[in-house]
Amino acid sequence: MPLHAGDDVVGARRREALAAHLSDCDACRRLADEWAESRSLLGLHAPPEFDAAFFDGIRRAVMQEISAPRTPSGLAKLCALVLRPRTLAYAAALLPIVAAATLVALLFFQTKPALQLAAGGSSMTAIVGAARLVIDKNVELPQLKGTVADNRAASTPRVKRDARRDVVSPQLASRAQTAGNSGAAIGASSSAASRAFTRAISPDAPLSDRAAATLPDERKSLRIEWQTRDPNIRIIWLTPQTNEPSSLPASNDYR
Amino acid sequence: MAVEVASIALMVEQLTPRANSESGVAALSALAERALAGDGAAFEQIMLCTQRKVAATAWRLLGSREDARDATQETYLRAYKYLKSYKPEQDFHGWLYRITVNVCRDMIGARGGLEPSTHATTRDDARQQSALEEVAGADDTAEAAVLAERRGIVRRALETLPEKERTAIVLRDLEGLSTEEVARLMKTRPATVRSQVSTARAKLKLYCARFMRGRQA
Repeated sequence: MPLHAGDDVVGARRREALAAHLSDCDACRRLADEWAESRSLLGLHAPPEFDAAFFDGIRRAVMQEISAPRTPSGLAKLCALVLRPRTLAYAAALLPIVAAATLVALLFFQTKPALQLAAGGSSMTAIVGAARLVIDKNVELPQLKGTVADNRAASTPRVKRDARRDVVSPQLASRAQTAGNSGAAIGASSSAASRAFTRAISPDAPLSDRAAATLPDERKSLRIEWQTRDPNIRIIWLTPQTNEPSSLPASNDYR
Repeated sequence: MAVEVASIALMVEQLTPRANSESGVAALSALAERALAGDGAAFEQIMLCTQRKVAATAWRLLGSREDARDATQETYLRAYKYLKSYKPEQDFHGWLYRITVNVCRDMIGARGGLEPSTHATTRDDARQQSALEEVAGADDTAEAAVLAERRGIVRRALETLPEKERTAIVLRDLEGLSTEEVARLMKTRPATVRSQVSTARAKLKLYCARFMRGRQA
């Protein structure tokens, strides 16, 4: 009914059916008339008579608004300042200089110095090119007694045998070769910077007292670690920090 | 004096392009193009042609003279600002209607509904004043009084409607737009518009029947 009152019924068949029913049904026809009357009351909702002064005021306000000079926004002012011909000319002149300076700075800072030393505590790190040299001082050695196996067990942690190749320093390598089966504990670092390091030595070889006696009383050693450009190759050198022998010990000392 | 002013206003409207005729629409499109090019006089001419309809629509949607004035002003400011988005093949009236409806809906939304408003006291006073003037000026005072009262009931009935239903019934039944045009303006589907109009008519009938029957009794 509300839709019928405003001729909003959708579909021709539905409209025809409704019209046919209303022609036969008095009650529905009266209801339809009530709806139409109610809808016609909306016509009473007419706007008041707006006089000319009402519209003149609106037109004047609108024309004043659209005719007023527009103040540019902050961004617009900035763009206007930046895009002035003189500013552009200065920028064009400075651009090559800035570019050259940037290039020089990049080249300068990209080249690393030959040696950078960073000392902290008992360790020292030197960076030579892409290689890193770590020198750990005051690395404590365990008491070297008994057999190599005993000392091996005492040293922690053990070297991880992974894809990297641990290259023995030439001095240690020669010691190991001369020691042969006589056995020797090369040394072991403390847990703080530890790599237990033995090579080609019989684990059951006894440690000679003389060899043990040549070691410094302080049980301090120097651990030098050299990381080469190849990330898989690192050179670790353990050497006594004090009383460093001037020459390689004889192989007999480690019998 | 009021009659003379009304006659002048009617003459002005007759001299300006008729809005509903094809030539009127074409003339408005031409004026819009000139206004877009920077011709202020052309835009003022557009306002002269359409101000009455815009103000009437705004009044019907907002319910007060002051709000209608603000909405009309804002409608033309937005129309000038977005004139570049108007295409000559579009119906200028439909385009302006959309702006008017949006402005009114924004104002209602900013107020949080039709009532209350900052102009509520002013509006009530103005209504009473205009109703009294109407009754005083009429030949048949009793009939005029009944008419004024009925207008008040219908106005209050519309104010009780939710914003979407009120917009739908004003555009459909008072402005005479088709369901499809109303749906386009309200950015919804025709079926939704029909549903809103149907509900609004039912509520209006109920409200008017209750208050008018009470008055008659």
